[in-house]
Amino acid sequence: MRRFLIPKTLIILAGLVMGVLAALLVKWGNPPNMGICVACFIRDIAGALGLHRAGVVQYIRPEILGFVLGGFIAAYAFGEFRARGGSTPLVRFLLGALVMIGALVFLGCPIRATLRLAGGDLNGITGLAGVAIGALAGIFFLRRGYNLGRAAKIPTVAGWIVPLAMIGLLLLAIFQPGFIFYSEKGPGAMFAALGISLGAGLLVGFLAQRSRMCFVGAWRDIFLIRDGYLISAVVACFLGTLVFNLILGQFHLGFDGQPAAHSSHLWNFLGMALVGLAATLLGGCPLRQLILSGEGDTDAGMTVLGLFAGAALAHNFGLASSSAGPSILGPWAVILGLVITICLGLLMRARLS
Amino acid sequence: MSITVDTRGLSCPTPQQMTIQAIRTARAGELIVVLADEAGARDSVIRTARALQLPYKLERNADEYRIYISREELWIEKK
Repeated sequence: MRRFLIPKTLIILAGLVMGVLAALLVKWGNPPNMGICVACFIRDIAGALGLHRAGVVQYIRPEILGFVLGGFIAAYAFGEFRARGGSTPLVRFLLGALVMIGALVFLGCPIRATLRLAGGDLNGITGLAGVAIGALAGIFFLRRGYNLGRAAKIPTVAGWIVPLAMIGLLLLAIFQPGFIFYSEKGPGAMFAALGISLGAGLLVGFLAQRSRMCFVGAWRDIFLIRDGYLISAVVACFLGTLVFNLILGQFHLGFDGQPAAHSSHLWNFLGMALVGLAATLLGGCPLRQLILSGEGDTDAGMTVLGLFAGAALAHNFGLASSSAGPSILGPWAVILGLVITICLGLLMRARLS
Repeated sequence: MSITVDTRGLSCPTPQQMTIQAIRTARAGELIVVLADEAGARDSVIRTARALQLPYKLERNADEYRIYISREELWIEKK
């Protein structure tokens, strides 16, 4: 029984703070059941930069900048900032893009799947089941020797690139130059005040760095070492959002008519299975990749760029779902994505001597 | 006898997987020494030792962590 008594205060606090903030951010202006969603928010930033032209999802989400910079501050404060890179960046870029494509077929990252369920959207169950099965499949490849090889220590300046890019995005969000796109309607036009979003992002980013919170690693650890440390953040986040959604009248139970969601169970499941599998092979959910890129991990930085590229592709090629359901090409993209990810899982086995 | 697991430069989840592999192949009483150079990897190795209820000791020299794990009988093996 001793293994259940591992001190979990920090990670439970991190999950709880994120869950409560997610419910409050909806109250303060973010789209329903989307107080925090790393995939959706990166997609919105990609739209704001003009990488895709889906008019309803274009906004520089300060939460994303906050996650990276919060992780950056925490890493420096606790002597954990280390610039590193060179562990097959191109494969990470590709897997990052596939994570995003899967997430946009479901309409949310693993965090939003949890938040959707906490808002009464039962499609969240299908999504989370997909993440769990994807993580389980990822373990199969880990056991067969899958790995992406070693990274090397690199000059500190390289580790600053992603955090500095986020400061650049913050300046664009503040000064709103004409070349930045802003949605006039739709989810992209729903947002909390810049300062509130940024502050929430910084706080969550700081806590996520300290606790190693990860919404995909959580499922992996349950299957791989039967450990509940990481999942306690998911549970705490779920309960925090659930309670505040009930208090704020934001809880609506059911499958149909949920905000920014559809009820195609098969593609909700398979889209998130792709996310769970590809993210397990990458070693972390989209939030964790943002935090790592703030800690100086330039390979995670490549994954983040892959997420942006995936978002641009998903909307330019019509792969992303809408409230009406999956698009015509989205399911094919998920199948192709699963095939590519499985091939990489089987073939990426660097020698570690 | 001891087994050395070098996870330096590797990112999650590989350090954890290598540690599990070493614990599996080690004989009872053997010592496993895990080298790590990143706090996230260090924590995932410690989490693994704790989950399997194996005693461990952490050492830090400059930029590198050493986690010593003593391979005792596993709780899943005691039945």
